Amino acid sequence: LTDAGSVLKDELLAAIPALRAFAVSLSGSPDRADDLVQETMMKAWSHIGSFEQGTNFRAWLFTILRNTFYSQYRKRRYEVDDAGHAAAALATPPEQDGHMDFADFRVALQKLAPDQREALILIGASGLSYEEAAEICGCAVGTIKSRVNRARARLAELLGLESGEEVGPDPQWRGSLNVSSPLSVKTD
Amino acid sequence: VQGEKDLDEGNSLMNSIGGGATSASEPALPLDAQTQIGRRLASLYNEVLQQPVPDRFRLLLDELDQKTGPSKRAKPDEGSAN
Repeated sequence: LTDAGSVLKDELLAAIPALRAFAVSLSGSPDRADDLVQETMMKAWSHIGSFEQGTNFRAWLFTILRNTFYSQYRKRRYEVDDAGHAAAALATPPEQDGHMDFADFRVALQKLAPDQREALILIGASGLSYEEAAEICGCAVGTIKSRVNRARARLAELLGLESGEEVGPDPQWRGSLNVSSPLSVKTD
Repeated sequence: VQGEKDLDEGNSLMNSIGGGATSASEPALPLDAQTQIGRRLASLYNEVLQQPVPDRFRLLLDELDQKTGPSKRAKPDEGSAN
């Protein structure tokens, strides 16, 4: 038991990249995400006694993080609105029709209802199973499936993808993608 | 950390609803749109996943370790969050 602290430390450290990825996609703001991760780590540390040995530690941490996110969300809804406006201001509306770039995608993701966004991230990106996602969100597996479907449909609608008239990746299209995405600095 | 009550609710709901309930009112997306959404989402997520752990979190862990130590395991009511 003497090294329980250092084991916990190592496991928390190993979980940080996944926690940050979840938090950024969920909150839409890197700063806010890191605050969420910090609070999650502090809660995990002080509540480690309630973690059931043998269960999925990462899923337990995700549960703490999303509960923290939702309690903040309820308390400070106006700040979420501000974040939404900031994200919208950052994104340059695309001049071409039919294509979806990363900035558009980020903005659209933040326009989803939080429960739908959360389900989509857990299933579509984090690599967790439907069962694990359902445990994390405290709902039924069928509810997760339905939220994921609604999230995809809403995103497709927001991004104009549902028409099936998506343009192919021609060189010009690629170029504009690189210019308009703040994170992509490739110059190929 | 209020996971357990939620979990119980989830389990009983799961029993009453059953596994793969997807309502008929949800239109199926073209596969192409699904693929594109999946790729964008994965790339957003993985981009953060691959970043190195910021120093603030290493420092925080050291701080937690020194402040409370491993013996605090049995006292989950400790802490000032909330």
